[in-house]
Amino acid sequence: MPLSANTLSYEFDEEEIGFGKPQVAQTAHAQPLSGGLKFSLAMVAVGLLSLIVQTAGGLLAGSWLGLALSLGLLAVGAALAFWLQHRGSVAGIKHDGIYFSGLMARGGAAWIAGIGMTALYVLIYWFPQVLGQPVDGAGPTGLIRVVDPLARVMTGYPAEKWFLYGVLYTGAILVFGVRMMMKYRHNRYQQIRTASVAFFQLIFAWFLPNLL
Amino acid sequence: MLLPVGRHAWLTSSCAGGPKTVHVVIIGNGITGATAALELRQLDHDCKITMISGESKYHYARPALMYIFMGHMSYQDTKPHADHIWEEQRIDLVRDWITGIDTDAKQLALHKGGDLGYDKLLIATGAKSNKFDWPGQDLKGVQGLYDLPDLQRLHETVQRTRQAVIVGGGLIGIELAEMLHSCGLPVTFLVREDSYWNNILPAEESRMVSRLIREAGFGLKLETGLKEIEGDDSGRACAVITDTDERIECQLVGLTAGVSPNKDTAIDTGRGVFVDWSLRTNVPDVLAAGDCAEIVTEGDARNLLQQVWYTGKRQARIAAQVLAGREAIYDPGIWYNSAKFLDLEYHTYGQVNLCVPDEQNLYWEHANGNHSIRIVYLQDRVIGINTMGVRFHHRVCEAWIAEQRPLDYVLEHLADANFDPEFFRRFEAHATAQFKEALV
Repeated sequence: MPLSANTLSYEFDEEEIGFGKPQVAQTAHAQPLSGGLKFSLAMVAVGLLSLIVQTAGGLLAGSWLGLALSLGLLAVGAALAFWLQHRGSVAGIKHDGIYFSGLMARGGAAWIAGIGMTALYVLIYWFPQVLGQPVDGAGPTGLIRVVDPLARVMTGYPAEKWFLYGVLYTGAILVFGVRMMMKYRHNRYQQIRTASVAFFQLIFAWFLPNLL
Repeated sequence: MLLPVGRHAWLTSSCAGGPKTVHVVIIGNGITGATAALELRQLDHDCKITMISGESKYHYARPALMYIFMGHMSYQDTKPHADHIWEEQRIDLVRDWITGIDTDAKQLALHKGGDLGYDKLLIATGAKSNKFDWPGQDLKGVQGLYDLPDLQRLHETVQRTRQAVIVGGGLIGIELAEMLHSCGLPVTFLVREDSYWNNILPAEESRMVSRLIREAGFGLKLETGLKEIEGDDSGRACAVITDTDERIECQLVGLTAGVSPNKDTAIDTGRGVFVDWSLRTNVPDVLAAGDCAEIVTEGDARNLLQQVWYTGKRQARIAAQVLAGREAIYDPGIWYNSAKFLDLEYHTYGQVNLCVPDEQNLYWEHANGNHSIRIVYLQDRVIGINTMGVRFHHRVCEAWIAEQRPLDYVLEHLADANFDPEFFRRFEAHATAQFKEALV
């Protein structure tokens, strides 16, 4: 039987050991971040810090500038980062590494994000006062106060937890919509679908209900 | 649909004085072996079925090897069946290599020791990557991409790899290139032909693929063959020398110049294990099917070697019928295949680029060079269809070819074959207009 010694000695346990991320000698594509990407991620960092500061009642809390420098910077920075990340790649399905990525494959970053987002829902439903929900005629404080200027203009009332939730949810749809459009620029169906979702969320699920 | 035969086991076990249970052994747990085993169990609830493989514990899908490497799927995801069904269907799995077949005594020699007797045998050992006696082809870091050992070897080799060379241009070559590209390794192709895979792809489609390969940043050396692989002191490949005497440094050499059947020498073989149209070899009670089998044809027609997934499955079903004691003849049907060259999808149906005498071609390509439709016809009957970057439905194209539809009919109904996602631009009307102009 013409089986080589090499073949006969193969005893790898594919079930137990399996296959992890290929480690190359020198990652040829380990480029440092581009200038644009550094700038956009810096915006994300500053926006996040500003949000934390304002939530604690610090500088600019409850002002338009405060809103722009926190949620505004976060959204624009993230959207820009997504655009820059995918701009260089050839259009097409790119699931490379999703099984190795901590964020995509139940790693540490995913756990943090999951617990964090779930905790936010718990706070909104059961402990809104932690987020700064207005009580007994007093204005909003904390995180809810950050979106107060926008709430007064749109609804005519001070901000409360559901307005905050709407801003965060709609913002997420729009920012991650940018990522989706970039990832699926080879697929016209996904482009149209994403644009449709973003439009209906922004106008029919946020703008109009708040206005009326 | 699988019947839960496990519960009936105690009812059908052979007892003293009754007929002896037939023992069917299948060598190989690829798509052919696995399909034959499951199909045979549906046809014969009583026989003992043993499936042997040294490669993996369970059947898994080899075409998905590239997705495991690139992190699109885990190994477990590539197994088409849940692990428990083998026991449920009473198919015994043995993890071992067969080192010899004694067809007179009907015994198989196992590498880990001992013998396994059989009453009927199916050889489904698959194929192996071609090696054409290149000096240095057995150095470390030189390998094909066909099975799990290749994948495991690849994981080991890339740890020491900064550049890679791929010898041979075809489907596996482009897959390997994509895999290496995904972890940042520069790749150079050595392709003997003057255009990528142009023994199968017609000139225009081949040119499209060659262009895409270059646009993706791969080196593509056409009309260049491999002369020698250089090794360093530790027995590892460190460079290749082409037949134009160019030296290219690399630590990984992918051999993707086609595959050849994995065959045994005790049975009549040519390139593959010779079988008839019922997949029987020259030895009684021994069959062969799948990548390893070569179906002997009458007269001048070439013997049939089919080395893709669906033909393995089809041949396995015939083999299972014969193993169950029934008569069955293998019908290859109308050829079809589908693959992806990086991000470009390719479909082929029927006879394309086979130089059928008096055949004619109609070819349309989009101005952006990423979509094309080709219709091959013979005396006004459509015999083959190729598409690049356009999804044509297999059943529709197969029906057109099987029913020998005239060219006019196909051109009129061309849009019926399209199953691109919603909102995708459709090009059939444009292509048909161009075809009709060309025909005038």
